[in-house]
Amino acid sequence: MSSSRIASPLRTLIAHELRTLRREGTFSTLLGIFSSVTLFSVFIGWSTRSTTIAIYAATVTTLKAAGVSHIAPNPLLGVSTLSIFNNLIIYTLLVGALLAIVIGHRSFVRDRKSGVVPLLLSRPAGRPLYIAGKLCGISAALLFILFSMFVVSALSTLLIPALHLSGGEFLSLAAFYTVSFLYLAFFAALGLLFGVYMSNESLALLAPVLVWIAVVFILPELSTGQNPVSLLNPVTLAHVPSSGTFFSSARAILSPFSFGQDYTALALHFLRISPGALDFGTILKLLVASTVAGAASMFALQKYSTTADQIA
Amino acid sequence: MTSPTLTIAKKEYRDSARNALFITLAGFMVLLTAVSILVASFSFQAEVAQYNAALSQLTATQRAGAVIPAPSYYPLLMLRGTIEYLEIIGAVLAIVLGYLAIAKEKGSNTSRLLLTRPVSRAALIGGKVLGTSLLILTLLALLEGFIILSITAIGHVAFSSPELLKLTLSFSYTYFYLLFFFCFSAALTLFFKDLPRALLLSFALWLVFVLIIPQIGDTMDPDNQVPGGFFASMHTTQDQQHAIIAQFQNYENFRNALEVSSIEKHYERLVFATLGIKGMYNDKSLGYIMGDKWPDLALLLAFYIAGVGAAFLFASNKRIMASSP
Amino acid sequence: MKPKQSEGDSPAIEVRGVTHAYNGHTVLHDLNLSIPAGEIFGFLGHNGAGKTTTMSILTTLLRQTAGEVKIAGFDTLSQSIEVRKRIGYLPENVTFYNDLTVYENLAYFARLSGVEEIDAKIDETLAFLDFRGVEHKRLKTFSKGMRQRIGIAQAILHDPAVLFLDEPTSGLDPMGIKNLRDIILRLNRERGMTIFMNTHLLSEVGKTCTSIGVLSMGKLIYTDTMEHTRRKYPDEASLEEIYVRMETAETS
Repeated sequence: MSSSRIASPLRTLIAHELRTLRREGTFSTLLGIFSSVTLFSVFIGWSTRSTTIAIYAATVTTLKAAGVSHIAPNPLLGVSTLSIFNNLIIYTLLVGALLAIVIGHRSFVRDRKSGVVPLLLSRPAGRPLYIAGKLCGISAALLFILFSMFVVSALSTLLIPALHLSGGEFLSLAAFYTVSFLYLAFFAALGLLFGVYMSNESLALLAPVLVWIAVVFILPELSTGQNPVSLLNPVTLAHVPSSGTFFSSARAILSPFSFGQDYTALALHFLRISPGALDFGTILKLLVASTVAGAASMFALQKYSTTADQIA
Repeated sequence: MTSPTLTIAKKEYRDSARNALFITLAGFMVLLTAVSILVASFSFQAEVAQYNAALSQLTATQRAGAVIPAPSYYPLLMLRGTIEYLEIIGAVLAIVLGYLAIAKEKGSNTSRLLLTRPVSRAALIGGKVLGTSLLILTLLALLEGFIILSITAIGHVAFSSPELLKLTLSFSYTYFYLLFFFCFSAALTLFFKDLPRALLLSFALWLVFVLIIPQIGDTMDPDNQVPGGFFASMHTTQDQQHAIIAQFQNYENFRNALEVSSIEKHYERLVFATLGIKGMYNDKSLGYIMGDKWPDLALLLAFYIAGVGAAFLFASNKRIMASSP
Repeated sequence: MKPKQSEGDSPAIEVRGVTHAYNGHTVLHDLNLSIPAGEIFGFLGHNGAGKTTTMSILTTLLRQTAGEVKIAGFDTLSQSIEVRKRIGYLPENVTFYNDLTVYENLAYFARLSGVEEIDAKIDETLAFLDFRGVEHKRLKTFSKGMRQRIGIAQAILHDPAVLFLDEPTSGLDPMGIKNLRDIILRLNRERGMTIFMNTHLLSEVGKTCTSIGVLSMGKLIYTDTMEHTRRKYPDEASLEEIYVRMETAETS
């Protein structure tokens, strides 16, 4: 009995979060952006792959004409079809995270600007539940969007015969979207956390963006010595890190916070671009990071004073 | 009496420069620059160490006659990472600033106070654009100063005056590049009544202009599809490779056309040439570089004008005042 | 101190056949109004009647769908800059740049209104409002009542001919309301300003206004001087009762 009583306000909060996301057009905008990005990367992947196959045929003809007898088999045969999605890693790593930040940020700032925070906090549901409702609502929205991306990518591989995927590859693709969810959930929670914690709206938006820059650019650069643009090239992502003591010691110190590199490594694994065994510790790390960010938002709301809004 | 545009510009500048936002941003950009210079200097050090190791190995094996080129030090080449940061992160931050500049006015009713003054809308937007320009120029001047000091300190070599000129010129190109993104996101924020939608779309377009299109050159390069290079694994000669690629001219044209539509690509080509990061322009005169790169400069300026124009175009009373909480 | 001159002997505010539609809904129907210079005009109406829309049109913030508005003889559409030179405006719940000081905020708006002797003008205005000594404080520390006074200061710095106040008493305490009333009366008496005020507080209207207009569902259902109004409704003890009678008559 008591559980249904607790569940009811949570359900209300989640439903409200989803409804506002839909009403202010955020949801449709995000769905549009993510679906187009998925289609676009399939298009790039497919056109590059088919051109490369055609180039192989042309190369074979050229080499045969030149009298070469031993011609290497198509090197593309060793590359999984899933690799056509390689661009999605970068798009999720970068813009996916930014969009997740915006959702999390808006979630609380919207309530604050419309002046309903004191109304909500004076209800019997309690502050942690209020944040839990927001986090669950945002997660549900992200899951729906990622599921749509999965459907779009799965459908496009079914429609284009050249991009045939095996059952195992479909599962891998699903796993790729699952780890993408963990990564995005971390940034959404971060957006919410700073939204609650900082009363200055501009700084509240900027702070998680700065964390994003650190995670995606600064930490990887310090631990590999790669320039920012080469860190964003999906083709060379599986790069060997730079040598030198500075970089190896930086790598050791910074690795607990390198969520961007963790996500990239997992994504490369699931899209079968980089070989090697799956590191479950990395998945656990992403999961813990999202949970900690969510819990921190609850803590920040406990400390939150509604009178600050009236002064600001 | 000063003109209204100047009054608004001064106020924008003062308001932002005092705001914690700008101070945080400036600090962060300095940090990014420091990281990239640090990484560049450690990479160079590793290169030198490798060279010395190779040299001593050669000496040990008594092959003193063999010559390997020593890594040469060009201070401007240390800036590759910094420029790439300005390209990627600078654009994101300019987008956030553009969004906030409009969201701030939309959310409060100071815009009503402004719009009931005897000031034309053009003067109003002009003031905002000018104020932000001054702010971005201040930030860039700060970064340039930091770069000059830190590279001189690390390399113990002072910049020559042509190098300083090239650096300053590159930073002025950066101003046009960043202001384009500022105006672009301000225009979108003016255009959409729903603030978050404007920000989301700005980020999406950033993805397209800064990431997807410029990366296409690399990700769609057939030779890049196989680790180690497609042609290398096929053991073709250079001539054969060219002959094969020539058969796929349409695909190559498509790749090039996509690249041309991105402001980032023009900015990068221009600055990499000016600073000599693109090898063939290293140590070349400015005249030579400009002779080659003027189309990129022209397109960069065209994008800039389009961005500023969009901000003016979308600034109607209704749009400035319309807001959602 | 004389406010900026009108064109000839034209009324301070003249509204002819103004209609405004928004998203297919007509929110103002054929509004006609003439307010002579020197009046304190109280614009009454329930929430959503169209008072703020009317004020937005009068202050050049909004373009009406049809009809003509002249402020101090200047057309709000074709001569909006001339109009803006002659008006002061205090929106409801005024906000400022919180990181700037009182002086910086005021100087900013004064410059944009073309005021020349900025320092003297700010000093004079703050003295008029009995609010000296806060010039170098940042606005983020201010209470609602203090902000409201800065709001009035920015609206009168350039000696406008017509002052528009949108619900100026909203959120003020009784002392604040009394102070505001005194300021309005002095601005009218000592500086000859015409004042156009949207309000809910009927008791205030009775104490300050020289004429009133009543807007109901986008239509102007009544307008006359205070004096005539009292004479017309001798049986009603308060303005509130008069207002209720008008509204009921209109809706029934």
